[in-house]
Amino acid sequence: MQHTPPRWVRTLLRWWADPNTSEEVEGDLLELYNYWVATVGERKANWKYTLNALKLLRPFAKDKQSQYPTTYLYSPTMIRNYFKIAFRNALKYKLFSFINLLGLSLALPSALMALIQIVSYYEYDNFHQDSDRIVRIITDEKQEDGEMTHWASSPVALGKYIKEKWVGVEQSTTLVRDSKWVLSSGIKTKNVRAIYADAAFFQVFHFPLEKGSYPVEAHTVVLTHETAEWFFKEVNPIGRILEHPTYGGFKVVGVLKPFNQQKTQFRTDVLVPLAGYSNGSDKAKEWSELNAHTFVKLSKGRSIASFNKQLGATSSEVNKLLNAAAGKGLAFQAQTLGDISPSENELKNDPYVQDVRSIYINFGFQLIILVLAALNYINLTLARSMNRSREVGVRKVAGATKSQIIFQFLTESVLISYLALGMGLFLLWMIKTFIHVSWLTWEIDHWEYLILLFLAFNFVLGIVAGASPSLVLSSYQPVKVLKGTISPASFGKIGFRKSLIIVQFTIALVYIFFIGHAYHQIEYMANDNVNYQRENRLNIHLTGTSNERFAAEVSTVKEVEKIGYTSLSFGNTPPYIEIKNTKNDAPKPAFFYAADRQFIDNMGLKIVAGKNLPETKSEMALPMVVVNQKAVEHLHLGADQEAIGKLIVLNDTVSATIVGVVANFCHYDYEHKIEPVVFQYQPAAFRVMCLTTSPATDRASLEATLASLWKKHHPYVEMNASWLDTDMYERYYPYEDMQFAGMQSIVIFVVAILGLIGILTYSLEKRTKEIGIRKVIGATAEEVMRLLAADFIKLLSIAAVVAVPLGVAIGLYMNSYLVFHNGVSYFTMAALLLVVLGVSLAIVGYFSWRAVQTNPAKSLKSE
Amino acid sequence: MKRTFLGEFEEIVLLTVAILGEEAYGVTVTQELEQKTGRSVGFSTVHTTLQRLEEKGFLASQMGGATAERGGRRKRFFTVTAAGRKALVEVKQVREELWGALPPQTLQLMGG
Repeated sequence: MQHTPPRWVRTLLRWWADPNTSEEVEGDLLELYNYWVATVGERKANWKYTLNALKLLRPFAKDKQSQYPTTYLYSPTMIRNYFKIAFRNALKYKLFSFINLLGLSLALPSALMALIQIVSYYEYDNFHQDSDRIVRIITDEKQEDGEMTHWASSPVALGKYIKEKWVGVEQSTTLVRDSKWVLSSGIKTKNVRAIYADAAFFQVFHFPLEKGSYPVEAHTVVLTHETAEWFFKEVNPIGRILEHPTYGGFKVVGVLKPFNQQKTQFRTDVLVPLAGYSNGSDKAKEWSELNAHTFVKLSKGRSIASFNKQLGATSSEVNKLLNAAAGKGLAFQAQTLGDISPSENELKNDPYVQDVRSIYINFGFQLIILVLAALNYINLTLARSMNRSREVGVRKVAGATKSQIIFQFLTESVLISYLALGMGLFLLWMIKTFIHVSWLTWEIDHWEYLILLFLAFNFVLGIVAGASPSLVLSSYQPVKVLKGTISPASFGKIGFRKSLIIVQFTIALVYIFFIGHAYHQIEYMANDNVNYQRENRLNIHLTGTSNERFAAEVSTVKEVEKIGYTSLSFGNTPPYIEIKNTKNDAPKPAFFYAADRQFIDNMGLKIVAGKNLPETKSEMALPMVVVNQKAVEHLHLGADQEAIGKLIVLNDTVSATIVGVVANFCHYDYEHKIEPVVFQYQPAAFRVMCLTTSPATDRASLEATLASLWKKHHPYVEMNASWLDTDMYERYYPYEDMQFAGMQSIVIFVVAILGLIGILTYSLEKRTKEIGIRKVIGATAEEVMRLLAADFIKLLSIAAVVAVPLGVAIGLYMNSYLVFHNGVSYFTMAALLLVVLGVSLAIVGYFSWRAVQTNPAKSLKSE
Repeated sequence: MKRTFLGEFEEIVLLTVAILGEEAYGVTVTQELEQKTGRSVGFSTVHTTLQRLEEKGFLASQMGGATAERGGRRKRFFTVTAAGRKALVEVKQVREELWGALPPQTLQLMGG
């Protein structure tokens, strides 16, 4: 067997040994090497060879200038030549260039969008004045067992304490986030995100007012521009009252100028004074609970290091105050505003801030499509390597070095990549114009970075896609190539190209399954009538005044089948109450709805034991409740039947008898675990009139009828009515996100199909003669087609076999996050699988049919 | 009389080239030296010595024809020049004079 000495040694010799004697030295060493291999074995021979060669190196002895001028690899002429050849090649094989270009440019926008998002993460909160002096105080909480928890938040009382205690602190502001607020204008109700903030917040951070003033007193509120528009449209909101179900009324005192929520960590819909938050809270919890975010603006010239020292002192004082056990305690630290996003380490309670790791994992996911497109490129280029091998051979014989040929192929791939970038940017612009993507902001401050990033990214893409083809092609040996004894390049026996097709289709299928599954679940959440009835249910929000006469008139409208009342329609977060068996038990939380018999009927809740609330028109609350099965379970009342007639205590004050038990159902969030629910007849708390209407109702005319009745009884307030099904549909159906995700899955599919077409046309081209001969001998078109398609059908079925279990697994995994879900939709999966395979098979069929149709007389003419 | 200094290893290499005659090139010289002296000789040492001897004018070299083995690389064959032969003879003479001057008892003691 022929042994070869280590190549790097020879390279070293060429570089640094005496060039005058290099030929015979290399030859002698090679001869000796073979002798050594024969006498002392390969390992020792390698060693001896290396040692001897190293001793011959004379790095500084002689001028290495060769007597011939070398062709300078990066000379302008050569570079022009590379581009010229690249363009000519792209134009010569139009179909393949088109496939490569289309695939890459379709795949690029999502990667570019991910890049934009990454850039925007680095531009969070850069619009505040003196932002270099603003720091956030983060907390490391140490448990007794030595475990550290890193919090982005800090105790509520910290900000004030620091401001009072230390000099060199210009401002300090404390804010508490509550993303589960509900506000109602009487006409419209909305789940909103709220920030409790003190007055200093608006001095430290730059959120200018559009009108009105900042909130100072409790029970005032400032709205963002969008929220104000949603609630009040053109009407001036200042002075209006918004109602919170638990905290009461809030007076609107100001509206903020519009700002880009995507560019700040202070994403919110309303801002309320911190005074309102600390009012009811426990003094002791002010220090022990880390639910506030404290920001400090340092005085000019104050260093963060010296502030951190003060914080160290503060921590030990606070720990004393907390009476913390040994080993347990809080440690505060300052973090500059610029360092917050993206965060280097993941911090707890750090809303809207991504840590670096998850950003890049996300980015990796966005790259999947692009990787598929790049694989297409690699695949096609390798498949067509035969066409280029002669070129490589001739070039090498004419004196091209390996690096020059590598450079040629890299130029081509980079060129394609930049052409694709052009098209990709156009697609990006289309997306920006026509599709609203909720998670992305297009407002980037540093466009120049972004453009550089795009260019660099595509350069890397070109290099990555071109690397393996260029290495494979450039290592062809001219003698073999020109003699014609080389087969198309591939890696190993498994058939690199075939496995690529399988990989592509598997990924495409899995992604499509994923989208299909998400759609299936969203569809369920948006159109659910199983948990409670939504169809043909109209909610009318009531005003405080008596509604009896209005109700009486409504009941005469013929489309109205039933009138029920509730405190809150389903789909919102209801208030909690405490329930217990007897006065002295530990209380358990439960959701509370004030409702009447008809409402429970209207919602179609399943009564599993006992009966519904009694029929009554009483003005007084009744001491009777309907609970769900979870409440029975939490109160340990035994079986559902046994719970009937038992007394429970609501909120420490009212004892009520359980008259009925309803099956557990999802009344607000599909992700939330099932919790106890209590319905009580309590007319004082009724806020919503819930009508069941006959199914085939002309909704607009019914609304108009009801509105005119409403006008008679409430001349000064507009009627606020909404259909439960459309409400829920709008809430759960993220139309624009689905649009984008659907588009992405189509792109993945198209990229996979393009890859298939590329390989298909190539392999059929190779077999033209075979097809001709078969037909001449007497094969029918059908037989030949079956032969041609069989290969590809095999590949596609392997992909399907791999993808289906993965799809099911993803479905199950996604469902594990939801308490109420629609199961894995095997039907959707089957339909999607059929579509994907159908299209692919149609393409395979079409191309084989076209290949079969060629006249054998033509394809065999030259034989 | 002006004498050219010849180192011990140089002398052996020069001698070996003379022994090998027409077949003297890097590999054969190295292998011959190893066989004859029994010591392990590095190719690099031999190569540099050959170069030095050529520079001093004791050796002349020319490239051989292309060969199929060693990747088509040619060999550089060395022949001893007249100056080389003269140097060898001089060294031999010096040695013999020295041996001749050795007292007979000492020679006996060395086992000669």
